[in-house]
Amino acid sequence: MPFARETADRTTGAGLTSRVLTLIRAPGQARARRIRVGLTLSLLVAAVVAPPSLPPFLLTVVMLSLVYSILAMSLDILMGYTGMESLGQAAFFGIGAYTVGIVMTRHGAASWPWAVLLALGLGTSSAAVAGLLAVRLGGLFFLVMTLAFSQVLWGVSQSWDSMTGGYLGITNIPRPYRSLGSDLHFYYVALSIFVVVVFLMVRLVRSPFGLSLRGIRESESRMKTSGFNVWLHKYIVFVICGFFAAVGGVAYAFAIQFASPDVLSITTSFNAMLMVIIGGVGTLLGPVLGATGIVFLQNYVSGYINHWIILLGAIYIAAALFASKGVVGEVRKWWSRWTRRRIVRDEEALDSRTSWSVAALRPAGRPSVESTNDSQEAAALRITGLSKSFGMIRAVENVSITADVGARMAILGPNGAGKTTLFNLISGLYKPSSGDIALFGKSMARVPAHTRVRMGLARTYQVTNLYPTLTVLDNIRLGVLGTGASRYALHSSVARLGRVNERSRELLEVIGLWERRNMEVRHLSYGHQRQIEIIMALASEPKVLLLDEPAAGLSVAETRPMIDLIRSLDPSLTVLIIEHDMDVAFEVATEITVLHNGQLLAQGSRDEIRANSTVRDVYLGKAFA
Amino acid sequence: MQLWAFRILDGLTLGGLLFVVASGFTLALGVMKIVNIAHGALYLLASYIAWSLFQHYGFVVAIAGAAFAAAFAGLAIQQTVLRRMYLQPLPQILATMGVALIIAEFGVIGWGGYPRVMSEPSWLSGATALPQSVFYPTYRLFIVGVAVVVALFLWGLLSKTRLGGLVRACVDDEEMARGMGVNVPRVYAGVFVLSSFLAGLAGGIGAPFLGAYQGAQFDILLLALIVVVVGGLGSIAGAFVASMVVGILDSVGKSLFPSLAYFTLFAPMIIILVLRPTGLRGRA
Repeated sequence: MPFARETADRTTGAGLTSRVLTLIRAPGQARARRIRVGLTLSLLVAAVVAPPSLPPFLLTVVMLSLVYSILAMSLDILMGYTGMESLGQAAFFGIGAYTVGIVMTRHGAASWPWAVLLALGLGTSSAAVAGLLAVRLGGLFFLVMTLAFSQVLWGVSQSWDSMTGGYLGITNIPRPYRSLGSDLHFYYVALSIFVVVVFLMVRLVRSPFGLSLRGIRESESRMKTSGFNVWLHKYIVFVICGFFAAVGGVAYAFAIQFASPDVLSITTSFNAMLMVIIGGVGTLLGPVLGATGIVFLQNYVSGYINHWIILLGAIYIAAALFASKGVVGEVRKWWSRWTRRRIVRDEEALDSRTSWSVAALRPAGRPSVESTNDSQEAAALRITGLSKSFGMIRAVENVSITADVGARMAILGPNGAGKTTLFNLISGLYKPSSGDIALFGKSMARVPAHTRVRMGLARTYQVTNLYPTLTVLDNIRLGVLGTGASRYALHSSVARLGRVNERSRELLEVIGLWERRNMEVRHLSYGHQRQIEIIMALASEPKVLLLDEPAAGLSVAETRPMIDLIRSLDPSLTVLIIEHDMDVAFEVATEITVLHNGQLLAQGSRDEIRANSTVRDVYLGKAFA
Repeated sequence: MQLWAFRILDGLTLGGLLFVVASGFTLALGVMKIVNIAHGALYLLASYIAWSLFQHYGFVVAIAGAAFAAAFAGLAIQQTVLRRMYLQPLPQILATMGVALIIAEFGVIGWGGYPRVMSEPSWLSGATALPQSVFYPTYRLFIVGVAVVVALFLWGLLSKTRLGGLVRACVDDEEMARGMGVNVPRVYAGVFVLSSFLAGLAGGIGAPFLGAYQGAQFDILLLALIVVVVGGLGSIAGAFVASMVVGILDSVGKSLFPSLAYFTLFAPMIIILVLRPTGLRGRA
């Protein structure tokens, strides 16, 4: 269904897209872009024109820089963009290099297409296998697993003499054609490979899929509850980066005409990481700068001092201590400081809005929930006998709740009553110990969190859970993308997705934040962040919305707009709201459920709950009535 | 039959040595969340030092000197570098990699690029008769003995003493421990010194068995990593079982499939991680 909408919109949305595009671009960005394009072009011209006049050794070093740049960029897409810190990227690089070496030395120069294909195939498929083992592991386990994987291949390369040549490695790997025997000629091949890889990577990073990677880096739980299959996205990018590393390995083997266990060693993986960190994590330019710097140091300084490894060690320690943002990060900081004055002035011109253009919250063309319902009896959300235990603690015990279509239900209860646990169970972050949850009559207790979003469920978080270093617009885009078909798209640019951008704009205009779309969300006020929480949940066009203390921590002045926002939601939307602020709860909700110690204490209308003496004693306090 | 007994015993010897290294590694990992890439380098440094000390002062001084030298080096690393990157895995990994490179290169400067194998002390040389008329090198049995002593010592330290209580408190909930008045930075320094001491002890007793050679810093690290992954991050008991399993698999695997030595180690690791992602004794 979302897919059909999207293609339909895309055909008619061309004019719209260009309008959105001009609005999306901030004033300072155009100049930054011009500078970037100019720099890239002049570097490219230099890379084409200069080499014939370079001394042979320098040419080799430049070629190596290109090769290691590919490796470092492939690592940075994992590390900097997705937040998966791999210590085993050398594995796929080494597989690429060794495969080319083995095939080419055995079957001669003419076998190069097979060698390249096999190398890329083996590199990618071993990433697919390693990914199955490593990707589901978090943090330290992922580090350790990837390191172990590459170390094992390194061990194999040393001990499998007959195949790999053992410690000595494979020498005199022939290049495809006699004419490529000259380093100068092969340099242009390496440069072409590099340019193609950079082009593909830039496309990847700017695509919806690339945006989803940054979202995963910022908050996995938010991604899951926005409809993304986080594991699959991480797995796909792991395999893609394995492929790119293998491309680097292939280029390496042809460039150096030599492959030894060194290419698989822990030092190669670590050097790649060092290159990324020195150059700038989370950028594509950074790894290239880092790789060039390290390769030049390695090849020039090592000639002048005896124990250059000690210097390298010192660089590692210095990078760990000081280079948190890398070269590119520092330059960016400097650049943004320079352009900040203008941004601040823009900020002052904005008035913060307190009334909402409510219409946008009811997406046009969406059939109302009632008419799509196959059976009128099915409640929007039906929870039966739901329990969750953590060890000895029964956080939620035998809770049954039914919310009809269009219900406004508040869930009350003292701290520790199990309210947020209940929401985590409904949204799929926790697995229930027993009981069932059904959405419009369909059981979803065994369905992963991201599928529940596609079934029509959305939630917000009590503790603000956004993507802090992404822009406001990207935050909302991720909300829209989660249930859209283009979330796996690798080819198109996010900036050109008509429907996604138009919908994001509508949503941001509701809360008056469109003008601040290019700000990082962490720089917004807390009140605005709370509003984005809700807007992001609405972006997936849910039928059932769970709001976890939307007014938590808001000032009195900020609470009013929040209540208005909630009251203006589509009447056919089913809303469950956890709230400690009684004014908010009683103003927003018509039905009230009270939890206490994980159990259901009372259910009923506002007045019934107000009159209920048990509830008064436990929760509201005797003075309330 | 006797051949198999030898292989198993060889495996136990390697397993014992691995346990001494890996217990230190897993301690730093479990308590401080530090993947100490320099752990193998500390092992190597201790092996070199033991080799030198043994020339003049005998076995006991050599082992003790090696262990304390590594402990001191660990203290220096912790105080000068790691203290500044508390709970930041990536900087810690980079920094300890730098330390590993520097230590290994100093090894080259001080002891040359070729392997240094320490001799066994006279009172541990020769073979010991075991049941079934199996004769096995005494020194190797000594290594197994040291491993058992270290295991008992760590178990006693962690579960029976006040100090162990503090350490366990830091593992479980560092923030709470801090709030209850535990001097967490000091516990961390202590744990890292103990961890380095164990690397050094292993380097000392391993010097006659594996020798000190360039490359040991990463060979040992890899084995320790596998042990820790199989045993579960931070678990001493898990590390003991995993060390023995890895040692035996390595020894048996090398004799059955000499060219695929690392696969015989990796395969069980995969199986265990597929069945239990947190390792044998690990916690989620």
